[in-house]
Parts: sequence; structure tokens; C-alpha cells
Amino acid sequence: MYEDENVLNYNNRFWFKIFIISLVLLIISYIFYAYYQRNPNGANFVGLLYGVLGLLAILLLMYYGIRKRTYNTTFGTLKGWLSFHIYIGVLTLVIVPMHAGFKFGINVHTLSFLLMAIVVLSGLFGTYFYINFPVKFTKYGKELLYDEFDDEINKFINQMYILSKKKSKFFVQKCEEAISYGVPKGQKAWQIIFNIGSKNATSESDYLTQINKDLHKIQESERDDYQRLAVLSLQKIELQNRFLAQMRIKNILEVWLYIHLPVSFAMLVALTIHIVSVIYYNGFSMFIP
Amino acid sequence: MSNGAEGIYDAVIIGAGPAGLSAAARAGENKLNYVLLEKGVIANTLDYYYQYGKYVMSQPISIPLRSDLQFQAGSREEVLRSWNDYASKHTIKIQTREPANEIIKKNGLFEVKTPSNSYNTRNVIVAIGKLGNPRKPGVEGEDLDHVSDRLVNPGSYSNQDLLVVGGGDSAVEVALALSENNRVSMSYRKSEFFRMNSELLKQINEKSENKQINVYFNSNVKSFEKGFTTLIFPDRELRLKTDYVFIKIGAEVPRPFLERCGINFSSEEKNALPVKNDKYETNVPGIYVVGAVGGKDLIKSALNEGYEVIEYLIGNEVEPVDEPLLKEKLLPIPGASVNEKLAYISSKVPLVAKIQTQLLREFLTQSDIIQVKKDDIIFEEGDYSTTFFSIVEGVVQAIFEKSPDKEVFLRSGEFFGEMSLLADRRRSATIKAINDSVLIETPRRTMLKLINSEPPIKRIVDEAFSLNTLQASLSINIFSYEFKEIAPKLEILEFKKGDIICEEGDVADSLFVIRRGSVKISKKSKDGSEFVINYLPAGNYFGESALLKVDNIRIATVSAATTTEIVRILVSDFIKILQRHPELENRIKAEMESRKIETTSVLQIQREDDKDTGIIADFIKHGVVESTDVLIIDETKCIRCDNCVSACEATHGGQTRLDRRPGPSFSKIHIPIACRHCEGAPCLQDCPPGDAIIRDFDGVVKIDPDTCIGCGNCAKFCPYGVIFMVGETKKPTLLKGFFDNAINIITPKKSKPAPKVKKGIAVKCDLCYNISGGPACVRSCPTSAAFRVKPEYFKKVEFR
Repeated sequence: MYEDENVLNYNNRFWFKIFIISLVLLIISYIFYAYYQRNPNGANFVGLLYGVLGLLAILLLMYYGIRKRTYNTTFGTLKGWLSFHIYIGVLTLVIVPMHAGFKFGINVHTLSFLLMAIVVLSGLFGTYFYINFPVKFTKYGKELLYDEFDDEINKFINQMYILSKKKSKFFVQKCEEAISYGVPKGQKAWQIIFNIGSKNATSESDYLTQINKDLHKIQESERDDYQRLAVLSLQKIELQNRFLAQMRIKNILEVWLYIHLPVSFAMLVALTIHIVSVIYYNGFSMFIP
Repeated sequence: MSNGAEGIYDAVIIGAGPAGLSAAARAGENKLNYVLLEKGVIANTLDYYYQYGKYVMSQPISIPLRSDLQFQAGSREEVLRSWNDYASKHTIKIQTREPANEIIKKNGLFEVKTPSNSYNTRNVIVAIGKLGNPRKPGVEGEDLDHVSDRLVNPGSYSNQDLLVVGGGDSAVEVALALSENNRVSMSYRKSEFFRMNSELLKQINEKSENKQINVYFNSNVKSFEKGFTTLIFPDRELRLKTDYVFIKIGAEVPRPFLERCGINFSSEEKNALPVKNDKYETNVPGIYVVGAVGGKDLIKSALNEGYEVIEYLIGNEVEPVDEPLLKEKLLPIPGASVNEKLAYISSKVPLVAKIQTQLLREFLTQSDIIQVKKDDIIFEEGDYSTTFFSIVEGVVQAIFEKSPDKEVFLRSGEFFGEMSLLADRRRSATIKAINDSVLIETPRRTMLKLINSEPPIKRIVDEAFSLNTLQASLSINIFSYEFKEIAPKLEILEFKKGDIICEEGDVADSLFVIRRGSVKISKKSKDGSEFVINYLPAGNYFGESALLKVDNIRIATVSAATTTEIVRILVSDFIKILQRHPELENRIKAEMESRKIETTSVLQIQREDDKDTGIIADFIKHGVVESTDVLIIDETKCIRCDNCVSACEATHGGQTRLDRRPGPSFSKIHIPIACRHCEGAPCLQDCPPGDAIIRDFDGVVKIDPDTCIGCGNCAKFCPYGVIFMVGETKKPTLLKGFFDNAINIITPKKSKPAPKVKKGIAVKCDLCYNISGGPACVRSCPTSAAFRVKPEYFKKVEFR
């Protein structure tokens, strides 16, 4: 029932084919260019052609952000645009150095290339995440809503409190421990992503061993309730871990955008400075072959 | 006070409700010397008994308004304002707070006495209504302050012990409205609720099961006292703590008053009406009754009657209000006058032959008379239309795609379209005109109303429905004489979702045909768990294999997948059918073979991780198989970006009709909260304006924002919560992150602004019918995770 279509092979790998063809054409053209023009750089006609091509590509790539939010248009499909966005994005990593004749320095020109490279690389990470992480998500069951999660957890905690009523001190202490068990220490988005804090969250098996260790310390009359407490606690830990895992994947699916988007705008600024300054110092005469 | 030439009025109108006001307005226009007497204020019932902001309806829509007063459906306040404005602008001669106590006849004139005055008049128009005269239990303490016959504002009671006396619709409405924040009891003298609006019944049963409302059946009030009420049962008494009491035991025509005036009633029964002629005149010449007191309790009819009675009074002939409409509609029908045409229809169409003229007129004003030419297609198999057709003249043929050689002809007097009407499914056959024909096309709602109010019509349509279902599912021609033989023994059984129809291992004694709804067929595996092997929608039969086997043991369990109606055929009758149609047996046997093969293949692909349920079971469980266009999200591709929701929001005036995250997930797919445009859609069943929520010809269920009154019925009926009641238009949610906002700002506003959503109405998915390119949710998914499927899809679900 599910078609195995994704952003990379959309429409019979249309954009992949375009990507390969363009890449081959670019390389061939560059070989000729480098052969005839002993000193390839951005300031001669052919070099500028690469530059204009790169600029065009960047503008189209940035248009994706707008296209994604233009909901009424039938100008291509969003899937097609994303597929285009990915392949042409990678292509810029080739076009732009060709424009510069593979010459880099410590200046605003190289800075804009570096920023662009960061954008493209973060985008590649994003592509990897988009293709692989939704599948991982399905391992953790149905997506939990925050409200649902809250309600469920509160239900467990309430039941635990009810169990600990009129019990011995040790039981109450164990109950309080159970309630705070498995709550991850670090709850910031990046900590969740890198599993920091949740590493010291108790795993279910750890907790089970501890339960068994403490069982003999519990009064005979409270043993049944203690076991009930253990079951509740295990269910709570399971739910917490599931929620955490889902959060982690959701964060990963989003986090790369926090690099991709800001850096792309920074790149746009650097690129503008690059273009303006080059034209300011060299004039338009360089566009004449 | 000027009492006219000799101090004698032309007319005294009693009661300033819709009928009285309308009569007064007409009398004023005709320069009659009249006075309008009212015991309270203008439109007292509306003012006093209706809750604040209550929506006043203007049924029946098809009948035009004939009154000098304006009347449009709207809130209680709007209606009151418009009438009060009219009364002051046109100086209606009204005496408010002056009840008429007595009408005395003397010297060919009438004297109407009020506490402060007496009026001599030639005619009296009684328009005192009915609701203004609520019944009282007639027990001790009923006049105490905490005992009331109306509920003004449910919000003003909280955490109180309340008692509602009565068991009709309005009593239950009051109890339900109060039950949210109070402890509510009901006292009802009968042993169960009778003749109640089905939705109300459902709600009250639910609340009484959960003990949110305590219903005391078989109880009468013995007495009221401050803080307590004593109820009396056949075998005991109960003293109940009650802070407030609401008495809702209906209203009645104030019969003693009318009888004192000498007016006769049609019978001794409680609901009997005063006797009157066509011109609203009672047996006492000069006394007229109009409005609810005469039996017409719709506001619009009352307004019309008020107008007409004055016209009759001054000697004008008034043709019935629907006459011009009918004249135009009935043009294709032979006959000189409307009455002749009606007689002609009655003689041609047995279905409506026996109903009263008034009902027939109403029926026809709401229907269309259509003329079709030879070879015209009236509808096609698979269409979504739901109207009902009666043939006045001509012959049509039903053509079935499944069995093209089957020939069914329908002639004058017969009808078709009952399958779609009663099962709310797509058309099951194509209907083609064989020669030039004249048909009556009746909207679904009108037809259902007629069927439900006229048992003989219900029986005829029901039988045809069963017969046609039988013929269609078994693909045979059953002749009417054959059917007559088995018809009396056919049983129509109704099952709710999940009810078991027959169980694996039972001894079979009958064959079942699904006429409405759908069923799932399941078997038990060796380890005792249940798995679903098939799903059958309406128009299919089941239970035949056990009948054809030697031991007659059911081999599978069948249960209703939704509210389902089954026609049950006893084995003896089934054998009769088989004897007459020997080809049927072979076909059934062949079909059984193929079903067996299907079953085994389904068994083999039961998924390992989820043994007891397959994907079919999940589709059935979550009602997905009932849908005609459902949004599905492939969870292995969904990146949780919610762009689908943003797209829905952006294309629907900032109000999304899609909520991605809730909703069932199974087999790595997710069914978000968005309309599935179900077959047999429950949301369509009770829309007060009638057509605010409809299924259009493409099968899309949509809500007209202009007609919707925001009552919330459709949302209540929807089992999947996909109809959203909106307050004010929501502002688009802030997009996460500054740069997203930056992009948003520079986004060119290419798209035309979406229509703003009106306050307080229901909204739902409309499949983006007004934008090219299909639903925005699917188009805005960057990863092909969101897709929509049609029912054909479920027939070829692959298992993975």
C-alpha cells in the first residue's frame, strides 16, 4: 500500500538524473575552461557564467522556503520542489568553487562559500534525518500528545500516592523514589537529542533488580501493594522513555533547521556583499568576454 | 378611547403572538377598526419562555411568508426586535397586560371583557396560542417561588439540587442543559421515554446510565415545599431534596375559556382542537381561531393565518399560500386547476394516494416535478445523489453494471431511489428513461419526514427496499408474486456497531442480506484470538454457506461494523427462492469457493507482530472502510512538520479543519482528525436548517457557512470528531522561530484571501473543492507521507 517514494527518488528519480547530467556537463566544461584559461578565476567571462549560474541556483533554492508556505499554488508539487532543492543544493558545492577557480582566501568571498557549504551540509543531514527517522519513530508507537502524556503520568502518580497511604515509612520512601525514577535530569532540547541526562534515567531492567532487592525489606502485609507499586512504576518508566524517545526524534527532525535557516540568511548577506563589492571594484566591464 | 362610529369594533384580536400581530397588522393596513388584547407583552411566549439567544427557526422553508410583519430565522432577540419595531412604527392598537376574560354574545355582537374594560365588536379573532398556557401538575405548592415552568439561563444555576418534572423533549432539553453543573433529577409519570428525538434520547440515556441525571420513572409529584419535593410511586413515596423545580409537562389549548365562548371541540381527547372551517371561523359565527390554538404551531404558518383571517373577514378570497408555487411546479401535470392536478397525482401515484391534501401540498412544494425525454439518464450507478423519485407518467429502466442482462422496468405509479434514500449509499443502478416521462423528485429530508409520519408509506417503501436489496445482492429477478409469499416472514433487524449477528458454531436457520450499514466477518484462530477475514458493505448477503452445508453450522462470526440493518430470510424461504432460481445455487457455490480461497490467503498474511487483528480489522474498527475520501499519513515518511495543518489553515481563513496528531495509528499508518466523507454519514441526519450540511454530487460532505446556525448537531453525531465548532476566526499561529517569521513576512501574498469564517458555526474539511489542484494538505506534504484514498483502495489493500 505504501509506495516507496521519497524525496530522493521522487518522480522516477527525475532530479537525480538532472543532477548527474548537470554534474557531468559542469565537469566537462570546467576541464575545457581550465585547459584554455590557464588561470581560472571568478573575474573572467566564463568564471562569471559559473557565478551567475550559482546565484540563480541559490535564489531558486531559497525560493523553496516561500514555495513551502504558498499553499494555493499548483506551481509544481512541493515534493518535486524538495527533491530539486536537495539535488541542486548539492550541485552548488561544485558550481561555486568552479566560479572561484578553486581559489580560496581569507575574505568575504570565501566566507560566503563557507557559509553556503555549511547550509548544504546541514541540509544533507536534514535529508538523512527525513528519510531515516520517521521509520525509527514508528518503533515508539503512536505519537503521544503532550496533554495525553501529562494525563497518563498523573494517573500513575495518583495511583502510587493512593497506594502509599497509611503505609510504613519505608514503603512511602520507596513510593517517592518510584515517582521520581526515570525522570531525565537534562530536559533541554539538545540534552534530549544527545541523550544527556536521560542516560542516568533508570532503565526498566535496572529498576526491576532494585525492586527485587528491596522486596524482603517490605513488611509481609505490604508486599502485595509493593508489587502493585512496582508495576505502576514500570509502566510509568516505559511511558516516560517512550515519550523521551519520541521527543528526541522530533527534535532531531527539527534541529538541523536551526543551522540551515539562519546560516542560509547569513550566507545571503555575505553573498550580497560579495557581489556588490566585486562590481564596485571591477565595474561591469568584466561581463564582456 | 374612540370606539368607532357606534363604539363598536370591527374586530377584537386576542393574543399578540405571531398570529395576532399579523392579523392586527393586516387589519391596520385595511383601515379596520380593531384592538389587540394581550395578557403580557408582544410575543409573550417568545419573550418569556425562550432562553436568551435561542435560535428561532423559520420552518417550513418552502412555504412563502404572507404577512405585513417581517420574519426571518434568527435569534430570539432579533425576532422580538423586528416585531416590536413594526408595532411601534405602524402604531398597532395594542392593549398589553390586559387579558381577555370572557366573550359574551349579545344582539349579534360580542362583548369582550377584560379586568379594566369591555369591548363591543362584530368579530373576535382568537390567537391566544398554546405555549402560553403551560400545564400544571395541580398539586400543593406549585405556586412557590422555586417552582418554575421555564428556564431562562442555565448558567445561573450551579452545584444545586434540581428537579425537572416531565419527560418530553423540552423537559429533557432543560435537564441536559442543567446537568453539567448541577445534580439533576427528573420525574416522569411513564415507564420510559416515548417518541423522543433520537439524539436527545441517546444523550439522556447516557447521562442517566452514568448517574449524571437521576430519572424517576413511574413517578408523580405529590407536593412541593421549600427545599424538598415529594414524589409518589405506585408502591412508595420519596422525599427529594430540591433547590429548584422546573415543570415541563407541556402546554395545552385553554379549552375551558374557548368552551365558555361556545366553541365546539373536535373530540373529548386532550389534544383535540377547536372546530373551524376553511376560513378559520368556528361554529360560533364571528369567532375565528388562528395560530397554535387552531393547530398550526409553526411561527410562519401562524403569521400567514393571521393575514388570511383578516382577508376573509373583509370578504376577500385568499388562495392558499402555496397555490402560486404549486401552480408553477405542477405545470407538466395535466389538469386545469391545482386541485385537479393534485387529484391526478393521487390517482397515478399510489404511494401518496392516501395522504391528506395538506400533506400532499407540502410534499409537492418541497419536491420537483421533472420531465425527462426518451433515453435520458436520470442518475448513474455510483452517483452520490440521495433524492427519491416517483413516476407519474412514463417508463424507466434500471441498468446494473454487475449484471447487464438483467432487465428491470418501472412504470407509472412505481418509485425508485429508495436504496440511496434509506441506506445513504451511492446509487446502486443507472436509471434511464424508456420514453418521455414525468417524475416527482423529492429531497431526502422531505421523503424521510413523510415516511416517518405515515406508517403505510413507510411499509411500502420498506418492502421495496428489502425486495430490491434482495434482488441486487442475489442478482436475481424476484417476481412480485414470489415476493408476496416470503414478504410476511422477512424480518428486518437493526444492529448497533459491535453487535453480533451470528456466531461461529451456531446452527444456521437463515440467510442475511445487509440493507444498510456494513458487517465484519471474523473467525477464531487455534489459540482463541479473533481475527477479521472480511468486510461486507450494504447490498451483500452472508450466512449462505452454513445453509448449503450438511451440518448447518456457522463457520464464522459476523458482527455489525456500524449501525446496520439486516433483512433476515428464513431457511424455508431461501429454499423456495433456490428452487425457483436454480442458477443461484451454482453461483453461490462458486462464490463460496472463491471466498474460501480469499480467507486462506488472508490467514496466511496475518502479520506476525499483531496476530489477533489484521489491517482490515483496524480499518473496520476505526471506520475507515466507511469513508469515501480519507486522509492517511504514512508514519514511515511523516516528518511531523505539520505543514498539512498549516496548509489547511491557510486555505480556510485561518481555521484548520485538520488536526494531525490525534486519531488512530495502526500498521504504521495514521488517520488524522479530518473528515472522511463517510458513506451513511451520521452528521447528515439532523441538521435543523435542513441543508446546511449536505453531500454534494461529488460525494463531498460540506457545510454551507451561510445556512449553518451553529447548533452543533453534526459535530455531535460525528463519531470521529472531525467537525469543529468555531468561535471567532483564529489568528494564524505564530510560526516557530524568528527566521520562519522572516520568511513569512517576505512571502508574496499571491493567493487570494480565503473567506473569513463567520462566528459560531460548524466547519469541516471540504476537500478544498474551490481550489484547483486538490486538497491542500496532500499537496503541502513535502515527503509524500500524506495521501488520500477512495473506497476502491481498501479492496486491494496489500499486507505488509
